[in-house]
Amino acid sequence: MKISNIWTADGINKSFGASQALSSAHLSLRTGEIHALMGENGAGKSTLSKVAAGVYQIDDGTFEFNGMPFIPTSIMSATRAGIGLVFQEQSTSPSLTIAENIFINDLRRFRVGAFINRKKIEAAAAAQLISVGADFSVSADMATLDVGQKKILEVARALAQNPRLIFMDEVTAFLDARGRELVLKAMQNLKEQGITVCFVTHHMDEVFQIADRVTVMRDGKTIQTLEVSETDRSELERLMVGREVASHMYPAKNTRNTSAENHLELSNVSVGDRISGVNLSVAPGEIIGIAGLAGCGGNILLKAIGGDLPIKNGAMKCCDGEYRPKSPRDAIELGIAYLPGERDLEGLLSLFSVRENIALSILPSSFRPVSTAAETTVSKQYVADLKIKTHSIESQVDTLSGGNRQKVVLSKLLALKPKILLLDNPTRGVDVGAREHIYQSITDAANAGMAIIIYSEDLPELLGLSDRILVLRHGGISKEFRNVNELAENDVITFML
Amino acid sequence: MSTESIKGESRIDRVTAWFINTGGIRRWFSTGMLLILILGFSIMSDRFATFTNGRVILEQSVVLMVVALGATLVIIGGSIDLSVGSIVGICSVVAAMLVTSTGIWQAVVVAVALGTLLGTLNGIIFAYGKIPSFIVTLGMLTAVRGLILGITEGSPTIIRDDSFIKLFSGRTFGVSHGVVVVVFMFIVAMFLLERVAFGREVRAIGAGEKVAWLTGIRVNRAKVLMFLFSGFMAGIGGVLLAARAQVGDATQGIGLELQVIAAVVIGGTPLTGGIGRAWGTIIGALTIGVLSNGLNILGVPSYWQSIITGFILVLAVFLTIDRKKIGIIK
Repeated sequence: MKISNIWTADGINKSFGASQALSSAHLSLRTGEIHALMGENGAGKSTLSKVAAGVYQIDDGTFEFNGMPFIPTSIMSATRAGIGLVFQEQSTSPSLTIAENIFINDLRRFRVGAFINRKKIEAAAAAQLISVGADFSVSADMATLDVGQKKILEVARALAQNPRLIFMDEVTAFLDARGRELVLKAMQNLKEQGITVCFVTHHMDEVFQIADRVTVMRDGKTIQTLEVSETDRSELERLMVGREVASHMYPAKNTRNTSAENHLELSNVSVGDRISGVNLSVAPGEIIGIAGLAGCGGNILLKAIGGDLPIKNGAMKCCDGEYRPKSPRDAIELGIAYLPGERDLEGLLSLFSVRENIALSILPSSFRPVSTAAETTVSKQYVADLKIKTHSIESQVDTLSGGNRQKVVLSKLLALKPKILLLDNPTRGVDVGAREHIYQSITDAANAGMAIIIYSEDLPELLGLSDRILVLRHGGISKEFRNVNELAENDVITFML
Repeated sequence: MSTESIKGESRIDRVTAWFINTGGIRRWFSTGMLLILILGFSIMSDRFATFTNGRVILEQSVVLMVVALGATLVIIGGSIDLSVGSIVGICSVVAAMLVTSTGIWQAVVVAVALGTLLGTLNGIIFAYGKIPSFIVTLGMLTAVRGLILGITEGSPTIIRDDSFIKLFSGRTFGVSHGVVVVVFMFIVAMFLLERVAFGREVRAIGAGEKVAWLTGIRVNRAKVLMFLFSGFMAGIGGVLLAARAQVGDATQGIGLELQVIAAVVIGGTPLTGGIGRAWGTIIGALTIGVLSNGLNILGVPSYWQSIITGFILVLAVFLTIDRKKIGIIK
């Protein structure tokens, strides 16, 4: 018997500015299957599901849906054709009722004159909730739903459009175990109704628990599609990582003398409900890498050390003293500088020039004069040191490329001459050339005696730079690697999943 | 011949390049429009372009200029101060009452201190109470207006102390004292915005509060200080207004906040914060002054004046704001 494909993609190209998110990617989905999409961060899985559902338009390639060529021009056109999408982020509105959220795109169906027929819409919504296996009733208050239940609501909303195919983009990323079970059960329900599901995930368990087939992507390309029953964890891990680490990109290690005395010590630190019981210490001249999947809490941990979030429990010690910052200013005064993960929202003032951005960290106190000459000297030094490509230091910073903008943020921190440097994904969205310069200046800073903690979703980068690696899983440290030189990516990934 | 024409072209090119390099239409629109208005009114009426009328326009704009300079800082900081009209009102009433009962300097000090205090209160509630400045200062606008009615019981206080009037709205060798105050306050505002770190802190907060906070800037303190400054300037505005009107009256300053915002915005400081100039605000206030004076001279009915001012406000924003950089306009 010939197995029919409901949807195929072939030769799909998609680029965002200079970065190629998809390069001749392909994927076929069989009618009625649950298909998992796996890959490292930046492999192109989210982009593929978003172009399929009309969020972005492809540059090049062909889609076939129900045997006919179909390229969606918008989310609405995909929805009308029968392709639904559930996002990773929350997209329900707390000010609407559950029924209104489900039928947000189709409210006129229930219109009577100028009003919505409440009984009719709630009855229809209740039916949708049953078909996804929701554990809450249509009359519940939106405010009482947890994140997992809201995700179920979004699945119900997608289902209300009568799709034949639903893409789910890392819908379980922010969910706890119970929420995850609910969503997986909803997928199973969809399958039983003959709806094809394609879901993007980082979690191996989910693939083996529910998927029929799995496709692994890497660097915007489709690597391989496998029957789940014919593969195993280690094969998938190998396919996901696969690539050789370009070792020459990373400066040499081992040239530093790390002193025995620690600059910073965390004991049993908890932050909110995302980080619990973390122990960590870092010495001058040492680079510590924190590995983990998106959502593991590494960014939260760095924010807490950098004074942007309060710690709930535990203690921090910095330079022989109790350390409990109330603001980033407290951290900076002790020589702790934090590079935020959201470069353009938290790191840069796009209206300011390169000089003003770099000089922001070394402003004198409020009523002392600013010295443009001194700012110019410092900026020029860092523009030269980090090889920042800019027309002039007076250019507005948003005229620079992503990599050069990141170098400006790093310069701003280095200008503080900190003792401890916290880096949240220092090369996210940065091209290869700029990466090398950033790696070099991070290594130089460590060689000069700075203590550095890097949290990165880019594992090769952590292996290339760190002296020690801590793996973070679900907010706790699952493994510490003291010797990084012999380490392979697979060894680390095992403790991330 | 041919070399000359090349020279001529290159001069135009140079002027064009200079115009673009210094910010193009965004930077020069307000100045250009003011010049066009002055030119237009001068052609239409020979009573407009006289020394006396020029001085009248300046004197009429003194209060607006001082108060708008204070509001410029707040708006660059990404916030808004709607309470300045009421603060000007209460300060002018208090000044008028104290001049008659106690003395000039006591009146000035108490009025300016009161303005500063109310401004600081705005800042504290906004920064530490985490309530949007629009709401905080709207509340202050309403409450202070009520306070004014309570203090005055509706009846105006006429100022009979000529030396107070002479001091703040008289002239020496033909120079208006109010204009001297404006020049002095302009220098203070320039100093704060351009010379010391405070101006950079305010701009950083307006351009990206989260970035400013993560870089170690004391965001709450700077927010309180910028509202303090706005209140202080409104206090001075109140004293100038009392001296000009020679009376303290419960209706003084009503609606001034809208003129203030218009002056700041016409001057090229967007309400989205992060950028702006004190000089632009002076130009903006003068534009409003010239417009109202010129239209009066031409005998245009006052409702037309409102229509034209409103039109120019929207035109100024349309031409001077870079929409590409603002994702959501609300």
